[in-house]
Amino acid sequence: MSRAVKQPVLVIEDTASLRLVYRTILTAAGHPVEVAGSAAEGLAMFRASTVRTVLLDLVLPDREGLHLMRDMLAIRPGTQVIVLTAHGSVGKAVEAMRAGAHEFLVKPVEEARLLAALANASPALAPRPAVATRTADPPPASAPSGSFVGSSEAMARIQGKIASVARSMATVFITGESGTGKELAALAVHGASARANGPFIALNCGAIPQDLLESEVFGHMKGSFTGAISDKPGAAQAADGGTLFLDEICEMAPALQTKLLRFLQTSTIVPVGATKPRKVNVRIVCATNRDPMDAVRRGHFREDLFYRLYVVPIHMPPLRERADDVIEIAETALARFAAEEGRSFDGLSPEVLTLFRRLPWPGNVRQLLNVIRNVVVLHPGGLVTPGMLPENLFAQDEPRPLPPPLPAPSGQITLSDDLLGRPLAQIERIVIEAVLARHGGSVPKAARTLELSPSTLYRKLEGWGVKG
Amino acid sequence: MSDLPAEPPPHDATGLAEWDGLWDRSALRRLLGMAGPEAANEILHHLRADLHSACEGLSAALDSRDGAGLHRAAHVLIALCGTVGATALCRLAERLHQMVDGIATAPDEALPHASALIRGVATLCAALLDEPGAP
Repeated sequence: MSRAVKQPVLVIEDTASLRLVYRTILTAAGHPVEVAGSAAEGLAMFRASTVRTVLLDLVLPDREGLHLMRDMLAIRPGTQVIVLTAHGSVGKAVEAMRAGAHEFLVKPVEEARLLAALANASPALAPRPAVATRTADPPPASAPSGSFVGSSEAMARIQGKIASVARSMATVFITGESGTGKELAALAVHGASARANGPFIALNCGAIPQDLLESEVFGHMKGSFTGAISDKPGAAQAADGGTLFLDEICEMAPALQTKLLRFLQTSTIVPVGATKPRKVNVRIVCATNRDPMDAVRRGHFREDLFYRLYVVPIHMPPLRERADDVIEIAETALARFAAEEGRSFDGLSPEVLTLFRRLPWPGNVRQLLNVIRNVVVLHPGGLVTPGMLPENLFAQDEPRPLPPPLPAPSGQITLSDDLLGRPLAQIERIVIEAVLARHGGSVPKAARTLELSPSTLYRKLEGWGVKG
Repeated sequence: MSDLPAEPPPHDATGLAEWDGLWDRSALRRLLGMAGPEAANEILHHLRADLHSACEGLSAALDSRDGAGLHRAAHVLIALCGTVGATALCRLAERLHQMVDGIATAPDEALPHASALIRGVATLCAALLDEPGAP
């Protein structure tokens, strides 16, 4: 057991025997320890000391642990608060993480897990292996390099969220449709974090056969299975000191989810065929284009693993909800791809701009980039006109069929007669149907008349059971 | 050594056989070994006191079907039972904790869990008296 001096810890726990237990474990591991039995006592001791690591029970007799934590962080920002909670109160722990807690532990706390959490809370003191400044797979070649492109309010919120969560160790869970930039967001989180000089390792859980995924994540020993001709470190070990990005996390098989949960709880990995666990220091970012709560409800994803991962959610908006970002991205990509191909284009024609603004872009940014690259590769240059665009793009711009009309109480519907006395939702539908009929079923034209975005109108029609 | 609370009254040790084999004493013994003899005595003393106190809280809450009271007591017992290696009791406390989460009046299905937990904790307290390091 190491006797090196480690960071002082303040333990705030109202149950006397548990205070003693934590003090015993932490002292044996070399941490100077102070203990407090109430929120008031804990706050007083915090003020009177310079301690920067706190172990805090969220349920205290005199005050909510969450409120106490906020006070401590206001007094000394950067304090690493590790919160303790019971299994059924993980939601409270997640709330604490969002409020600035460094980590949460579920009672009863195992000794190894407690010490691992403290080691992660003290990067300056805990020993770290030498870290190679490298990343694994480079970002997709079709994506604009560097940061996000787009000045919409939706993306400004995303960038702000990334900036605020990057500095903590909290697990980030990114959701969003396919092609919305989830991996770029993960890279941005890594790049803005204190781990930016460490490795960024990306693993697509949906692209790797499940029987090989454990080996890919945790590594394997030579001879552990047919084809294991040498020891191989897994992604978790390769990401030591940096960030591990698990894409399509909901595709992970249940057996491996159990092992991932254990890894998250103990910060140790056991490669396939190994007998000894190895400690790693990794920040997890994960992503899915599914609804993770739905996966939990259907039994495809462990609830306890979900709560462990879903600490800081970031939802990447679809391109159709990003206002004029579609134009910014298209123009940026056009310039970049043209430079790569040694060609010169004069921008996008007004017809193309109008079309791009009204298309739903089900493939989001990835689809848009593919369209632009298609244009650049197949044409020598000049102004980009609709004729240069892939033909299948226009299929998405076809007028949608009208929704079935609401049954009228008597005779033909007239706006003035049928608006009175109806719920607002019905009035809205009547008006939208009438405007659509006036424009021959054209959603983009109806949207302009109603001063709605086409995406809003598409969503309403889908909600009424009309397929796009 | 800190001021110790009064030693709780001895619990009825009947029913110990019911839990025999369901308590992994190695976790507690490792902890007591780490603490040293003097601190070990203090830990055991406070463990029994805290278990007894939580048990009393559980009984009072059970009598009045006080959901919040059951929730508080179960919260403490999850950590205490888990820490000493009484995994079965820890899980029972977790189930009870979830059943009464946010509920003012305990539902019928929670009552047998609370009763079983009280019996189990009483047996655990009696068993702790036999631990090396106990005064």
